[in-house]
Amino acid sequence: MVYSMELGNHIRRCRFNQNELTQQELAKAIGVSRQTIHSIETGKFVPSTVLALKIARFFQQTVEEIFYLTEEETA
Amino acid sequence: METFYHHFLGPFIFISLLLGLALVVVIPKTRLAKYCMVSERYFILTHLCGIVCGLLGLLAIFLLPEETVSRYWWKILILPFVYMELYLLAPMIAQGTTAIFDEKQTFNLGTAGGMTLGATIIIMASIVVPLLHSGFLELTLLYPFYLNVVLLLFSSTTLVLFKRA
Repeated sequence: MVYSMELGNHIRRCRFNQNELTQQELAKAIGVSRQTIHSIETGKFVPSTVLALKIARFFQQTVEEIFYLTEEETA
Repeated sequence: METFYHHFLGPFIFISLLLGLALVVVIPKTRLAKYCMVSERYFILTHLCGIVCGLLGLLAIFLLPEETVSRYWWKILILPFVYMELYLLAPMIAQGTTAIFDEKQTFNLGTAGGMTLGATIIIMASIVVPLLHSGFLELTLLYPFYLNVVLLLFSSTTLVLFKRA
């Protein structure tokens, strides 16, 4: 069996828990573009360790609390 | 137009580019560097400008007389993009690439560069060679043609990759 691993995240939930923060506001706080936050949220872009740590620090959580790996059977 | 170009526009382009390059060297050494903001809008606008300049350049190559295009039109049409890129250089030198592009933008620029390289090899082999042989494209326009194709492909690919989420 072959498994592929994908990166999931709870950024959207974290944003809403934090006074319904917009993507733009989060992007500004982290120092990236809104499009980058949107791409990370939808799983189209995998952030670097530095960016993942920045996001986690912003929400005052650990990286594992925000990002997780999903395993999918591919064959 | 030719007299106007040689007496006014040509020297203006030359001097403005020299001035731009001088500012790129001087600004990073002064406090002005922190005021050179590069936002997400500027990133998008630069590549929109690249698409428009590339398209206009290609149109000029096929619609205007060969002599005028090879002498000055291609330089005039590409100028807005060159100025926009020059503006990027000052904060890039002062703060580094990571300070003005985020990692997705850097990734998109790299991917777009690779895709453009691949596409231009195919375009040059399959379109340009027949165009040159049939006389639709003069040899003097080969460089402007290549430049505009690269600009159009690179800017549009970067923008599509950046916007795709």
